[in-house]
Amino acid sequence: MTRTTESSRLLALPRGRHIAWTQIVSGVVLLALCAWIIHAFAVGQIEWRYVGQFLFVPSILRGVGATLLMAVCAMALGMVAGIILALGRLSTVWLPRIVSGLYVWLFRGVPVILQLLIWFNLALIFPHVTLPGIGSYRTVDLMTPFLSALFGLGLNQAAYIAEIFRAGFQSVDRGQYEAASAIGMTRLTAMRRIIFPQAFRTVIPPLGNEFINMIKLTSLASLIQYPEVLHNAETIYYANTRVIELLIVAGFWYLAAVTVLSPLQHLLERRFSRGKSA
Amino acid sequence: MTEPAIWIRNLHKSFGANPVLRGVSLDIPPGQVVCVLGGSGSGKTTLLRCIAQLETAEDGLIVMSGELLGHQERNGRLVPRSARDIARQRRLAGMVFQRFNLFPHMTALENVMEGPVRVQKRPAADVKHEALELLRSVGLEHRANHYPAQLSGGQQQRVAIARALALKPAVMLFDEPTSALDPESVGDVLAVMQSVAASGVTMLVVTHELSFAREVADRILFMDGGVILEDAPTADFFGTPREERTRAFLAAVLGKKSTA
Repeated sequence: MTRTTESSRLLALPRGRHIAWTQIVSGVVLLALCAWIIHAFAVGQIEWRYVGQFLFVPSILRGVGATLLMAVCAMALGMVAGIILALGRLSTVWLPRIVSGLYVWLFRGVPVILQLLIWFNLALIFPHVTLPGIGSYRTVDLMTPFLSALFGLGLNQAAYIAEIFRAGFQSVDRGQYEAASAIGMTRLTAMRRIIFPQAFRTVIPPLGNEFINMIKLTSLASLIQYPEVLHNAETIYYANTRVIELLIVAGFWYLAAVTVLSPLQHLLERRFSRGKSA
Repeated sequence: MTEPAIWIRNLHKSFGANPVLRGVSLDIPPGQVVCVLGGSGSGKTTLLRCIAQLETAEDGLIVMSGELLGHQERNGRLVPRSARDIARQRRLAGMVFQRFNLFPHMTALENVMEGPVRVQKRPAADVKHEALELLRSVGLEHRANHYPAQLSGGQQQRVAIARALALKPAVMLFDEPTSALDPESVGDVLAVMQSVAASGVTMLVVTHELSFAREVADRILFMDGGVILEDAPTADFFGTPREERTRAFLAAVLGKKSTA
């Protein structure tokens, strides 16, 4: 009886608020840190007017265009080669399985920058290239910075995309292949109509990641004279010595490109998630 | 003597060292409804999957609607058919799976239309009309634009039956079509199957639904250890089972039913 009255007393008490001291303290520390960094950049040896001045100069804008062009082309090459490799990896025949496995092992195991340099210096291995029916060319003339960067970045990317698509294809239930066969579909039609659309929705998030990575990875191509945005920023600061200012300009454009891309990825995900939930 | 809808001789199939079919022979006349009973591992599902060419038998022959499945005669020997030809032959029979296997990225209507439009290359407008008619016949015309994830198990299975019927097969194969369903949905699916049977399609049904078998089937096959142990008209099978193993199976299944 006393127990009940003791508990009932609690009903009359007002409710207080829990104060999250750890969150408040860490929030204050973080804000202070940000303020300090912003202050450092504001009073540091950065001439911000140069940043504004060079943000939209033609050479930088051309660089941005070249960066995006390379990212799209290398990603496209990586997708096509990657899908073929993934299909090879899942083949029932041993030869394509081995070839795909070796490819992924090799291209994932060697640093990208090294691969770029090898493509750029391909002439040292093969001085001449003969294309049947078209003619013979000097490799030096053929392997322009654009082509070297495209092969270097795209074929490296293919190895990663192959792994993403392999997981995507494997995530589709076996029953889907069987149902497609049972209505008389050939392997190719079943792949195109049934398996691929289902695999694609699981690979969009990791593919979006890869594309964002690719945009930043194109900066490596500056090393082999491909005129992307970092390369052009460097060319300017070699002349005017405004190193940090121009690096900030380049950084701004990478950030801008990546920022625009994220909502696009979201849109694609929505498009391919048809029928996923009730 | 009419040509049998399904003619099977001496079918053998094993998974690794484990034999699953050990010499199955069978004639099914057109229009007959046959239920296949048996315990798990008796080979009944594998038999169905061999007829649907989802499995390849090591030995034995299957002729359906006058066509030898998987092989063809050339210069006095049997040679394997091309993948394209086998894909075409799979349309001879409609297959209904235990787990429905509807295409999740397509609506019910799109699921039903997929075969006729993409495989038979028929004009979508004609097919749509037929597909809606089929969905109506399975009681789901109001669900035509729903995705599988928005349908109950029983509704999905009825769409799957409509999808198989859309290719107008002479033979329908059902692989435990009600085993994955909640008890309430089972009746709806069985009713649809009964109306398919009444339409004159040859049916081979692997099932555990003894009451359905008793009511709808013309003939029962009882499989055990990879062979057909008993093959009898429905009334005889349930009334006077010949084999000791069949009697034990029926007693076990019916006994379990009555205590439940």
